[in-house]
Amino acid sequence: MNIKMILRTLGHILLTESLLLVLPVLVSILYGEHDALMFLISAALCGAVGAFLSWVPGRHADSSIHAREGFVIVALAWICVSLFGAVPFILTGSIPGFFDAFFETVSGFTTTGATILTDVEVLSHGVMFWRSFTHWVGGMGVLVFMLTVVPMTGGGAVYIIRAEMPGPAPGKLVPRLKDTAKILYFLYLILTLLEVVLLCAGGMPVFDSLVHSFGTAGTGGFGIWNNSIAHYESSYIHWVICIFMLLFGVNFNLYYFLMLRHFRDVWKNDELRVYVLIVVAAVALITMNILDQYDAFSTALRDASFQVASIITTTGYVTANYDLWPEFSKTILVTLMFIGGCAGSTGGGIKVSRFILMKRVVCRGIKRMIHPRSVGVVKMDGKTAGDGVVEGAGVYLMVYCAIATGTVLLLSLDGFSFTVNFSAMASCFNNVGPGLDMVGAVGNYSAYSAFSKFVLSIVMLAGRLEIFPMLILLTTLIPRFNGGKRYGKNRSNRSSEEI
Amino acid sequence: MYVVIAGIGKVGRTLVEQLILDGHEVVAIDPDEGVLEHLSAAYDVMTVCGSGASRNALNEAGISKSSLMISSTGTDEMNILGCMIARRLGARHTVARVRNTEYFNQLEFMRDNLGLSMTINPELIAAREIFGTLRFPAAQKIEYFSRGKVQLVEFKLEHSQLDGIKLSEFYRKYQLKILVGTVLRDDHLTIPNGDFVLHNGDTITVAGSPSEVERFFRAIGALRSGVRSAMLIGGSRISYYLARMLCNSGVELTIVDKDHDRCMQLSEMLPGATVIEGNGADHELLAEEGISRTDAFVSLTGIDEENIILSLYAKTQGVNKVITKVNNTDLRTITGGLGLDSIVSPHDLTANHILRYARSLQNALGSNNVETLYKLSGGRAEAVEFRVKENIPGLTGIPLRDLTIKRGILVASITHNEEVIVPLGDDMIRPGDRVIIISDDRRISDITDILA
Repeated sequence: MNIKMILRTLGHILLTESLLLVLPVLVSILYGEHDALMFLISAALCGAVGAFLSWVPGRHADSSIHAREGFVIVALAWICVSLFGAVPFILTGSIPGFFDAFFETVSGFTTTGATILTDVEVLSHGVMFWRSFTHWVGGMGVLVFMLTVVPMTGGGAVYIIRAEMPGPAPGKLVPRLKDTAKILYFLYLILTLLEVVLLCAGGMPVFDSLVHSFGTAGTGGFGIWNNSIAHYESSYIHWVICIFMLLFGVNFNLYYFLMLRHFRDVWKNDELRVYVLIVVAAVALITMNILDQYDAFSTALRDASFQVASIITTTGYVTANYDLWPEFSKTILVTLMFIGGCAGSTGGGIKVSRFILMKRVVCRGIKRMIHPRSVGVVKMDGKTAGDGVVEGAGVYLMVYCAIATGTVLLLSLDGFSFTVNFSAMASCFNNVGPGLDMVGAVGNYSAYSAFSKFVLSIVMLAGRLEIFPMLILLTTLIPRFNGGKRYGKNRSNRSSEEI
Repeated sequence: MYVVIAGIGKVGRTLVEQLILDGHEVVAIDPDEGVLEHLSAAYDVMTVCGSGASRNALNEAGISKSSLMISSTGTDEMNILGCMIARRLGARHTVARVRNTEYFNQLEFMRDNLGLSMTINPELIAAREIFGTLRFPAAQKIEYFSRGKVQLVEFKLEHSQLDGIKLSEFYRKYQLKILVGTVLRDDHLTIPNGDFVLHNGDTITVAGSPSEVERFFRAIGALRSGVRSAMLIGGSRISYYLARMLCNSGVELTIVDKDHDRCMQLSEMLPGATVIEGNGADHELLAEEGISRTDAFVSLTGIDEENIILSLYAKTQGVNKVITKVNNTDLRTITGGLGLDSIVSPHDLTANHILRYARSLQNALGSNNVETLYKLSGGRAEAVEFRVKENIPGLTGIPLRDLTIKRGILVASITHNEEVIVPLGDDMIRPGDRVIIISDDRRISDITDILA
């Protein structure tokens, strides 16, 4: 394994993060807050470690990386970024406990939006900005962001982008990786700015609209009010955020196709159709279900739409305390958590496309039972999905179920009800944010023990990175899983050829 | 440049690697997902799974904005069809690998009528390379233009009878249809005129048709080590092309092949050669056919290892010039230590050929009538081949002596109706001609650039 290259990439990532940490410094200065100094110290610390790591491997280190390095880099990068992202929370004293601060930062970067804070309104502007800004950066990907800045030659980079971009088979839009990353971030930026403008037009203060747009764009969900979006009474703001959440849950490749006027590709996209269908169906069912709790149909529709959009895209903003809704509606919402957004969007969850693939695999399987000699291929967007993609989706689902079960088991040690533990797991693993009951729309995660918070942090990372990078990092650290090669023992002779 | 490559075999992979190193944007199309997976793991390339002749795959690859489409799948027809479709969808240049001998005689026709910018035949290129090595052991570099009709040979004058001779005198004395294009003396490049005097130690470039160039070498006595007899093992396509070239230049030829039908075919197509049906690895057979007396031994069987062993055997039998075909790159590094100096790899040659074309495109971006471009004398001069498509006022139909051509530019050859003309003052460029221009260091991207 090319450890030097891993260190160097981590160094670059931290340097990038230290640049990002300068933004909250500016915000703090703008509002005349003392936190500016703390952010500056964090940025300097992060930059120093980053510079050191980039310097260690030397100038002429071999830059070739393979699949394993790619996955390990992604996993380590996210852990490092979260660790350093937590520094300002601790330094400013807004979140003094290490595990609390780590949870909050991971929740930010993984665009979960789950919080351990009981009162967010006391936070300074700088801290609030940084908290939401992590959503924006984490949404499209920290490493993808780095790739637009730092040139990475060699094919290995494709593993990095693939490990970080969600979905069963992410592809390139243009031949060069760097250009693809730039196009994605460009679209991301444009959509975000559009939302900021629309929110400002609706009478939301500029700072608020920025922060909420970051939360929407990354499908994160950190707000600046204890009652989230419900703080704003304007229906216009609710609808704007609702629509933008749905937009950010769509595969960004489709926006690129729109830009190129390839309307047919967008229209023929299976995933988009199913996504829209699910949203419409869920909104209709919940609206009917909650109608008798509301005075007017329009408010019921608005709250149902907002909550469906918020949960399926795994954002986690709240306009209504859905814990008071009937069981049927709550169950629909929990189901939506697992479905998640489209592949290639900023949303979390299992992704609509994996469900489509699995549904088609199941149909093929059933057909084979009736016609044992029948041959069928699984298609996606009119093209045959390769065995690798189909198998990958199957393996993903299996590992997903195993981790979900294990997490609920670990959480149950704290003694809270099954509903709380299950919804906390579903919410964190799918990067949604709020769950039910204690961790529900108006609750938070502060009551959990440090151990549970750590477990949930790891689960959030696993969910955001689609499990495999974290799993591969784990298997790399434990030599037994290395395909029987006893990697650890042979390290000395291997290192001479590989490093 | 935006380049689309269809068919990721050995050649395709080499092309992807080199083109990315050259800084181009590359899209690869192949029906095998595993191949693409492997490719994108190693290079920063976009991949499209599908057939290189399918419109959907080509569109997905962004063919409309591509400057170059290279089709190197295993099937000629796929390549031709793919290039035709790509051309219609907006690819500016197309290169197809066409290796079937049946198409050999109609390449020019197909290229002009099917919208191909270039066809490439790996076996033919390999045969030419081998032929070149056999004919002019003294030549440092041989380049071909107009599908092999024009040759540009670079070589060094050593103890030559040309020492101290004036070029105009030399042309008069030998009455050869060749032209001295460049002279490199003490690291200084000159495009010579008639008053130029040659000296020993000069590296000169000579342009002309292959037969004329050979006559030239014979006339100046530089051909002394050229082979008179050769033995080819394996009756592959390379053998056939090579045998044709060798027969035409009067080399006594023996071809050994195992397959009866192939032997019959070869003897039918090559009346001048002796075709032996037998195993090339049979040393008695080789001795019987006179391996110890032959000047050159070329092993061209389909198996690299067999070629290497046969060549080693030929070395022990005292054959002067031994040429080995080795396609596998890994094996080639091993053969380095075996004393086999002349190794020929059709895949590499093909890839290099296409790359040269891509580079020439890059050089002449903006004009699309540059056919071929070669760097001469270590990059100090360029030889560019143009195809004059239409009437250009002030250039076509006017005798060269009446044109004012820039200094440092030489019209080295004109191919008119398949006939190679080494231009004199009376000759003129006509529409439909292929013209080779040699220039010192200055970029010629259009034929009209030569006019002062």
